[in-house]
Amino acid sequence: MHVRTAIAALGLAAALGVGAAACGGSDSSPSPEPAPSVAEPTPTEAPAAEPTESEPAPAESAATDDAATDDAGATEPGAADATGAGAKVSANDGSAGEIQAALEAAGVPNAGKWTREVMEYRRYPADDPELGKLRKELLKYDPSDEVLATILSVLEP
Amino acid sequence: MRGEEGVVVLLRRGVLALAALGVAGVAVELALLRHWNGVVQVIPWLGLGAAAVAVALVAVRPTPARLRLARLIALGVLGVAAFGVLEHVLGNHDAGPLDAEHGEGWESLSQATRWWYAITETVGPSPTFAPAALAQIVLLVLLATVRHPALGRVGGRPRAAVEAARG
Repeated sequence: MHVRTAIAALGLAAALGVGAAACGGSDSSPSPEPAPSVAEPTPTEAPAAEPTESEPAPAESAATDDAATDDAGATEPGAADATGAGAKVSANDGSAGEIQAALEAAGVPNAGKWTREVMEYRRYPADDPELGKLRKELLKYDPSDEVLATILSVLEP
Repeated sequence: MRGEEGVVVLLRRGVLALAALGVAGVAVELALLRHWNGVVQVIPWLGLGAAAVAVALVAVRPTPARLRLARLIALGVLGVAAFGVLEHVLGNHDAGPLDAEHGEGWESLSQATRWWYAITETVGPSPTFAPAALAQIVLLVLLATVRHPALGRVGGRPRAAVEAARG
């Protein structure tokens, strides 16, 4: 997301710069060619925005699940709790690492990307234990019912 | 005011009114979407504000300097609109793996297919061409400045040059 922000700032600055350069005070209608100025966020940059992305395959989740259960209380308390005695990670206050670990432990594919979305739409109403706001936001990504239910099952406001 | 000249004035004002209406409409739409999650989502608000300033510069006491500034701003906003479209496509592409239908086989799709799905909103949450509404607004602004009388030009040439040629 930081890369995105930097790209956005760069694109905005470049766009304004092109505008300044292109406007020479002539009366003729300007020929807007701003596209090159904003073409810098190349497709190859987008994936780089998630260097920490880990996308466990569902097959991994079973093993991770066992490990999380075995290592309860170790380095990832969020994950342990989420798969333990029903304790959940706070979608409002949990760190990205905690949320991602909980999602990974629950076998959610693309846990890193989902974590980013959970973080992006904070904060969630404390009086909504069903996380309706989060559900609404995540539905925009057209996830499977199973993935959505799993994500919501390991989180709480 | 003679007939044809009056029509030109009417059309110029109409174009500016449509631009102003566009500013209001996009503002409402962005507000309804709560389009303010993070810095990137604030950019269209800045673009919209700039577009509103450009409209005002052309509509209220236009001078050559104000019209040139409006054009400058309009070109900048065009860049913002282009960036917005690009950002939406990138966001959709990035969200491809999350899609229930296409996510599982996302990596096996060709690059062209992935980008096509992103552009056509088959995957991802972002309306690809919605930011182009900003472009439409400032194109109207640019149109309203063409051969504007405040620029002191006749037929695209400086009025002084035209009058000198007439003797």
